[in-house]
Amino acid sequence: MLCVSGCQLPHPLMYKIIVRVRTTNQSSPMQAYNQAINDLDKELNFLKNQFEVTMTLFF
Amino acid sequence: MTTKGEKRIVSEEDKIFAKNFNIMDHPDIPTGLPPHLQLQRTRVLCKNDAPIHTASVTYSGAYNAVGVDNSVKLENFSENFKVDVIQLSKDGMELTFDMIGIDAAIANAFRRILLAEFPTMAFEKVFIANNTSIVQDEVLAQRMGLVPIAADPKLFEYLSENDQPNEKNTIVFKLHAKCAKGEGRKKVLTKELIWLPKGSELVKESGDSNSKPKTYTSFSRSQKESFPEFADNPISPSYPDILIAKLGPGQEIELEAHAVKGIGKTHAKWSPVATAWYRMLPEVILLGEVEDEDAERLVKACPENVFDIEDMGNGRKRATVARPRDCTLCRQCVRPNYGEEVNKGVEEKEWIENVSLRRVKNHFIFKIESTGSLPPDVLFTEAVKILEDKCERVIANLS
Repeated sequence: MLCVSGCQLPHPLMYKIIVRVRTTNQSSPMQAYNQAINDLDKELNFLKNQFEVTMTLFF
Repeated sequence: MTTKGEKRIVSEEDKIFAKNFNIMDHPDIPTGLPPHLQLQRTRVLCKNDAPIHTASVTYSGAYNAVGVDNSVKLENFSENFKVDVIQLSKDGMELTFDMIGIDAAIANAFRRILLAEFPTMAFEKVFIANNTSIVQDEVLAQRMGLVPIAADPKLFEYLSENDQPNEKNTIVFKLHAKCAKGEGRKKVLTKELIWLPKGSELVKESGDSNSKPKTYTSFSRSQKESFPEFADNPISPSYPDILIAKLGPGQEIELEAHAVKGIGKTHAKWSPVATAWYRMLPEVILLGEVEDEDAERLVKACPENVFDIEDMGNGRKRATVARPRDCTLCRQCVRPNYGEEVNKGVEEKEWIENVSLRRVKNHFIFKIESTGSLPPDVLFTEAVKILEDKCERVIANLS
């Protein structure tokens, strides 16, 4: 269960972003972060398939 | 009604009813968000001075008080996501399509990847053997760098500083243009660029006269053999009629240009799109009835013909919104007097509040204009793959 999450860009000229994740005792931040990225991966996969299907239908 | 002291007998049915009772199931109670919150959540209101409610509500517990879950779930995305292709230009290089159900952050990520992180081939080193034209060497080299090359960058590898330029990471072109004395001014176009599949022909000077002359590239095989796609279609610039330089009589340009793989972040010449942009779907709502003379003025005011007149019978007319998609937010429909010139003596009214201009926050109209290396639908699919690769790299680095 996530409490807070945020990201910060310390300096615009330095190529670095700090991501901060805080959870309750029920789960670890690593778990939450991994799950978020995996979900994003699946969403992107779905998006790509839908796009390809739509393009083939268009032609 | 019970009198004081009497016990109420509660049956089992009543107990079960009380346990399962949920006020939200009652048919009269509205579920979901109240309409004003739904408006704030899904629409950007473009007011007279500035748009409001532009940020998307990301906090998952934002609407807990009303009993609505605002979290982002994979199943919700899969159900609500939709892609619609609107138009593909005749030469197949410009694509307009709609994406419904994604967030602005993801749409922006695709735009940025297409612009800056998609690899292409472009001229990096230009070896000038002879240049007597009035275009300076470095200006000529910079112009050569911007010429788009129609070669699939996936077939080639990156050339790093330690590598030798070989047939897997370099494409070599030659240009030899001459304007004879007595002729008029001559234009040097990209169709005069000749592909050299066997590598560079310029010889490097070396003190050793016995060994084979070394050139600036070390091709082991002709690129026509290593890339069967190019055996019959030679690699060429995307457009044959781009002007590189103009030559006067007696002037000559002789050069060899080497193209390598790179991304737009390093230099814009490596960007595969002329541009890629998106806008949110416009929504135009008439807040009240606009009739007769006002309707005429409203229809005439809009330069994009968003509004139309509808006959109501009895000779009365009404304005309707016919083409909200064409709205460019010029705000002529809400300006005082519909932006018409104010005659002296006529009072200038305040901003007209008939029309509400809105944008749908999760409906994006994308336009991708490719420069010629890859068709725009392939570009977009590859951009999604690049974002997926980034996700996988993060996961791999964390574990």
